[in-house]
Amino acid sequence: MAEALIGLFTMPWPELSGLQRMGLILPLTASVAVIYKTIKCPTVREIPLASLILWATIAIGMYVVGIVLTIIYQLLA
Amino acid sequence: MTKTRTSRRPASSSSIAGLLAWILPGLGHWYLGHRVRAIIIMVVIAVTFWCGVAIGGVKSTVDLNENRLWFLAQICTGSHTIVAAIWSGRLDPVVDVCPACGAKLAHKPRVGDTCAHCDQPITNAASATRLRLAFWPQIDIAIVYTGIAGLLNLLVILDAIARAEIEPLRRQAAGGSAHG
Repeated sequence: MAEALIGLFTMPWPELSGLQRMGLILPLTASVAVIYKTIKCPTVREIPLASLILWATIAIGMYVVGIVLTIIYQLLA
Repeated sequence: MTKTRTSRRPASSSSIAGLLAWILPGLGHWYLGHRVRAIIIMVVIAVTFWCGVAIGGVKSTVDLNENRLWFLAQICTGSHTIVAAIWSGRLDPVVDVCPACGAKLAHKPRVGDTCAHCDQPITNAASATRLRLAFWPQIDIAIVYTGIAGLLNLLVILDAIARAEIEPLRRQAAGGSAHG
């Protein structure tokens, strides 16, 4: 059990597909949204909804930028 | 004399709040009495940092010699990076494991040796060697995760310092207006 837990942090993940790499942006943007709103919200009650809205905004925005850049790249290639 | 005391108190508490926020993310807010915010910060920054370490492996992810600028961002998480850096320094980049059960072997295996954990014979010595180093894209994702965790904690440190400086003044102003 302990060895498996240590192995989790010592052995890197196997190769990731493009879709998996795109999915990994979601937890990271969630962290950014939660921390930012934890600092900014005047009351703790506002944090969950404000974080959710910010998370969706960042994630959608980044995917849109990614899609636009991919289209430009494909057109130029 | 009184003026000096009141101006010193917030400054010292802001330094302590900032230092605590660096040592363990969220501890500065805990010290200032924002317990719920402190728990959220502690959990989110720890999960983000250690997720990054899990993606790239501690050996590649926290490496002062390879990623100096990113290490500056990572070190903002304080104890998390210190623990990871000490762990990374103690690890060998290559490890010998049993191909059958994955258990760590005490020495480099030869064909015909048996694993002490599962008693299975080792048929291919090359497959028993595993690298603890990550390559693209895992390494980049891992470094971004841990670096972002550090930069988020930098925001948290600044927020803890600002709260420690401003909140006593606000309370003082509210008390003054209530009395006045």
